[in-house]
Amino acid sequence: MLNSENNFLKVCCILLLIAILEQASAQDVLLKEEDGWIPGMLQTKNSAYFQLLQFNGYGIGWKYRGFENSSTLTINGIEWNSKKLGVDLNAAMFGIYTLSRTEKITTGFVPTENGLAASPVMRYVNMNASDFSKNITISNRFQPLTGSFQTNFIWSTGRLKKSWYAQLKLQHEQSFIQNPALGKRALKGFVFNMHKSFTKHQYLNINFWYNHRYQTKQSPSVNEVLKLSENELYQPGWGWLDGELVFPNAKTSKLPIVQVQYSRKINERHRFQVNWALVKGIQSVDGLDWTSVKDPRPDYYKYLPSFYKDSVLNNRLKQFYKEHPIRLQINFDEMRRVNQSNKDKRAYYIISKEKANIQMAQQAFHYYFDWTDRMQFSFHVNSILEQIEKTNSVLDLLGGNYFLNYNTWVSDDDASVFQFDINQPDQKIKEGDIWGAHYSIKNIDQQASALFFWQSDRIESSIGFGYGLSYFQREGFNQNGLFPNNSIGKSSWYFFPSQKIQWQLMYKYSPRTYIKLNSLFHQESPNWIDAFKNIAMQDNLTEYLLPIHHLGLNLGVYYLGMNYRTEVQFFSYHQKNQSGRTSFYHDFYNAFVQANYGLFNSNKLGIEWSMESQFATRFNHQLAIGWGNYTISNNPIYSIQSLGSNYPLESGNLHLSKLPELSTPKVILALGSQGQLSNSVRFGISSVFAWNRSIEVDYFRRSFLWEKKIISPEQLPNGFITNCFINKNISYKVKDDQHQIRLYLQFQNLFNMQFSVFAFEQTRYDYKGHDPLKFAPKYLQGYPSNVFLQIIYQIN
Amino acid sequence: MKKIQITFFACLVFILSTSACLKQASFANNINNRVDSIVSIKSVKKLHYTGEFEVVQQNMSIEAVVVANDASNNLYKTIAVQDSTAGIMILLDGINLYQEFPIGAVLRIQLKDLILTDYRRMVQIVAAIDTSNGSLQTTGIPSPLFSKHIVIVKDQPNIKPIQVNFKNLHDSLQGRLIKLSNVEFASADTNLSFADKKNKIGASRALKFCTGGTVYLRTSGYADFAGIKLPSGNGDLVGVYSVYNSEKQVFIRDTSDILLKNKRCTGAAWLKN
Repeated sequence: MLNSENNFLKVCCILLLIAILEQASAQDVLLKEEDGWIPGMLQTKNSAYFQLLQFNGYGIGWKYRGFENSSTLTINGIEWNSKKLGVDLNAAMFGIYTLSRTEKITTGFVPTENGLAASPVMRYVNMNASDFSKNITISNRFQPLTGSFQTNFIWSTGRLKKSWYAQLKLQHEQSFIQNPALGKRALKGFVFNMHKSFTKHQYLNINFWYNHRYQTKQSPSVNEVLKLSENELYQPGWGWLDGELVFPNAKTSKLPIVQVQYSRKINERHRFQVNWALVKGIQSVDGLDWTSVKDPRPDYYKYLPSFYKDSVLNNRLKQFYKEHPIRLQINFDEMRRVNQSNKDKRAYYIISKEKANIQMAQQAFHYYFDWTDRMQFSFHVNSILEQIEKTNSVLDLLGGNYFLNYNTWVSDDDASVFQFDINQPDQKIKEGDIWGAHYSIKNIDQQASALFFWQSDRIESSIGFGYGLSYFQREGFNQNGLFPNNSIGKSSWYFFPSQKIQWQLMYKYSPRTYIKLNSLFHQESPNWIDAFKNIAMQDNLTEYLLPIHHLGLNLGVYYLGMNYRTEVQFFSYHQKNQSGRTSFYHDFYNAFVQANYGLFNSNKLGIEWSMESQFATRFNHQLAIGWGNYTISNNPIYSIQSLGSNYPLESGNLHLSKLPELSTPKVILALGSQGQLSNSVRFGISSVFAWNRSIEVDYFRRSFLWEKKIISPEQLPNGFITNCFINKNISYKVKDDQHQIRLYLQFQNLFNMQFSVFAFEQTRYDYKGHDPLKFAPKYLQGYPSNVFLQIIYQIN
Repeated sequence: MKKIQITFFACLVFILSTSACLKQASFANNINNRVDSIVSIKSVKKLHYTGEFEVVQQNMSIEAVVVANDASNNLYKTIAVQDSTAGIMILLDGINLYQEFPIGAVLRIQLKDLILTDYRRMVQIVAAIDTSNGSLQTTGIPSPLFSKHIVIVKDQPNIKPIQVNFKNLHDSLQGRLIKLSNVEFASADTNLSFADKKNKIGASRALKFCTGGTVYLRTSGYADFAGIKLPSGNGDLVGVYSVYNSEKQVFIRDTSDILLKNKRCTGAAWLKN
C-alpha cells in the first residue's frame, strides 16, 4: 500500500508522463503474459502449437489453419471484428490488453459460454479494474532497429471508497528513425477503466480508451529491386524532399471508444450481462496520387533493368541503380519540380488522405441460466449500428497550387479522364479540400444465438444456434462522370440473413485422456466492404454475391500426464460460394477492367500435434508439428468487364482447382523452452521451421483462356526463425511498499535469417508476351535480427 | 523514502534525455555533378552518317532548349531540342514528357553512351538499338536515366522560330523551330482533318507556299488535334522541321502554331504548285 509520501510521487509521475507514453505493439500480449508468468505445468489452456505460433508465426507468414481473417476479439462481452466493422481495430486498441488479467482464447470454432465463435480464433478479454491491486507501473521499451521508444504508465488504485476501482494507463511511442525502410510510428493514448461493485453479485465496468496512432505502411516489392538495392530492408514506399524524409503511405487512427458493462447475478440460477459501446472518431490512410505524369513508384516495371532487353542498356541501368540507390526511392523533389514547372502550377502529384468518419454503437446482451448443475442454457444478442463516411482530401500539393478533381485511369501510354463531380466540373482543389469519391455506408447487424451445455461424468457437450440479419446502404454525395446514374444518392437497403450451428462433444476416456469433437455449419452474410463492385464509385453490388457456406469438423485427442501433456488435432473446413472482385489494368485489352469471381470453394485440411512437458518445476518445453493443406477446391466462374462501360470482355471458368488458397506454410515444426534460472531470472527461446511456403496466386491469369500459358506458382524458400527473451526481476521493500524493477531483453530473429514474410503474384500480368518476369511477384521482407529492451518499474 | 524518489526521478530524467539524444540520422541526397565539354548540336550531327549509328564515347554534352514535346501527343516519347546551330530529336522512354521537359526548358544533355542514328534520315539520339530482326529498332533513354543524362539548366520562355522560305528548307534545319509564311493547305485537303483521329492513323497534308514549293505537315493520329479540320486560309505556320526520306515535313506543337487566316493566294507562282 502506498503511504501519503508516495501520493506525491504518483501525482508527479502523472504530470511528467502525461505526454510521453508507449504503445504495446504485437508483443503487447506477450509482455503481459511474461509479466505474471511463472513456468508451471499445463498453464496454457490452448495447445502448445497455437501458443508457440501465435507469437512466433508472423515472421514465417503463418496464418491459423489457413484462415485469412482468423481472429475476433471480444472485450467485456462486445465483439470487435475488424472485417465486419470496416475499422482498423489494431490501431484503435493498441496497448489496452495490458489492462486485462483474464484472457481466454479458443480455437477451432468452439462454442463457449461467451457465445458462438465468429471466427476460428476467439480472444475473450475482460478489462476489469478490480482485478488489479493498488500499484504504479512505469515501463520503457526501446528497439534500436526501428528507433522506437515507448513509455507506459499504469496507475491502479485498488479498492476505493464505496467499492470503486479505477485504473489509468498512459502510453506514448515515438520513432527516432534509424532506418527509413522501417518507417516510423507514433502513439499517444490512454486507457481509463472504472469498476463499481454494487453487491457481491452486481457490478459495473466502464472502460474508455483513446489512441492517436500514426504508422507508416510497409510496401512489398519485386525481387529484382530487392536485389538491386542490396539492402535487406529495402522498401519502395518512401522518399526525399529537400533532403527530408517523406513517408507518403501512412495510416492514422483517432478513435475513442467507450464501453459500459453491467453484470448481475439474479439468483443462483440466473445471471445476465448488458454491454454497450460507443465509438466516434476518424481513421485515415495517406497515399500518393498522380495524374497525367509518369509513375512515381521507383519499382514500376518500366524503370527496371529487366524491362530493357538490350544488354548494354540493361547493364547500364543496373550500374546506375548501384551507384545511385536513392533512385530506388520516391523522388519528391522531381514531383515538386513537375508541379511547379507548368504555367499555373497545377499539381499533377499529390499526397492524398482517405478519411473515414466512424460512428458506431454496439450492444450485447448475455443471459445465462443454470438449469441444473449439469445443464446450462445461455442466450446472446449482439447489435451493431454503424455509419462510416468516406472522403478524400488533399494533404500536400507538393509545391503545386491546385489539383483538378478528375478521376484519371492512367494506363501505360494513355489516360482516360472523368469528372469526379459532374455538377462541379474542373473543380480546382486546394490543400485540405475534399476531392474524389465521397460516400457513406450505413450498416446494421443483429445477431442472436442460443447455447445449451450439458455434462455427465464422462461426456460434456454443447450445441448452439445463431441467426443474424445484416442490412447496409450506400449513399453517394457526388455524381461522378464514370457512373453518373449509380454514384449519387441513397442506394436500396441491401439485406442478408445468416445462420450458424456449432456443437461440441467431449468424451472423457479417463481422467487424463479425453476426446473432443466439434463441428460447425455457417451460412455467412457478406460484409458491406466486400459486397459492392466499387463502393467508392457506384452502388452496384458485385456479381456472384451469395451467402458463404462454412462447414467444419475438428477432432482432438488429449492426454494430460504428470509432467507432460500432449494432444493431436485433426481439422477439416470447407468454404463454399466465396466471391471477390478487383480492378486492374489488363494488358491484353489495353484497358482498365473490373474483374469478378464467384462460386469459389476451398478446403482446409490438416493435423496438428503438440507436446508440453515440465522438468524440475522450473523448466517447461514445448514441441509442435503441424501439416495443413489449404487449397482451392473447384474452378470458380468469373467475368471481366471494361471498368468504364461495363462492357463484357471475358467470362468463363478460372482454372484454380488444387492451387494454394493463400500464402501460409504447409508444414510447421515449432520448439519452445522457458525456464527459471533463479528466483529472479527467467528465460525463453522459441524456434519455428516452415516448409512448403507458397505465394498467393493471381486468379484471373488462370482463366480458361490463358491457363495453358501460365507457369506454376513459385514457392517461397523454407523459413526458420528463432526468438528468445531473458528477464531479471529485482524486488525490494521500502517500509510497506514493495518495489520491483524488471529488466526484459527480447531478441527477435536471433540468427538473422533473411526471407520474405509473404509474397503474392501481381494482378497485372503480361497477357501478350506471357513474360512472368514483367510483372513479377512481390515480396515483403522480414526483419533481420533485432532486440528489444524493456525496463519496468513497479510500486505495489 | 526520499532516496527512492530521487532514484525514481533520476531514472525518468535519464530515459527522457536518452530519447532526446536520439536524433534523426542524416541521409544525404548525393547525386554527383558532372562537368563535360559542351559541344554544338551541329558538331554532334556531323558525327553521324545517314543509315548508320554511332555510339558517343566521349564525355560531351549539348545545351539546348526544348522546342517541342508530347504535350498534345503529336510527338510520342520524343522531344525536339535546338541550340543556336541546329536541332535534333531526343528519344526518351517515358510518357507525359512535357511535364518534365516543358517547351522553353534549357537542357544540358550528356551524350556519353548514347547513340546517334536516324529514322528515314531524321537524325535522333537514342539509348539503344536493335537490328536483330533486320530493321533498326531504337529505344529511348530509360526514364530512370533521365537524371543521369539530362539536367534542366534554366528556362528560356521566348523561343523565336527561324523564318525560312521553301528554298532554304535544308537538312541543317532538322529539329529546329521554323516559321513558314504565305503558306496554305492544298485546296483538295482543306476538307480534311489534320489526321485520322478515329483510326489513330497519322497523315501528311500538303502545305503550299504562294511563292512555289510544297512541304508536308505531318500529324500523328494520336495528336489531340488530329480530328480538327484543316484551316483553309493563307498565312504563317510555326513548326519543327523534319524529313521523311526525301520528303520535307514540318510538325506543329498544337493548333496555335497555325495562323492561316488570310485570303488564299493567287498568281503565277502559285499556279506552278
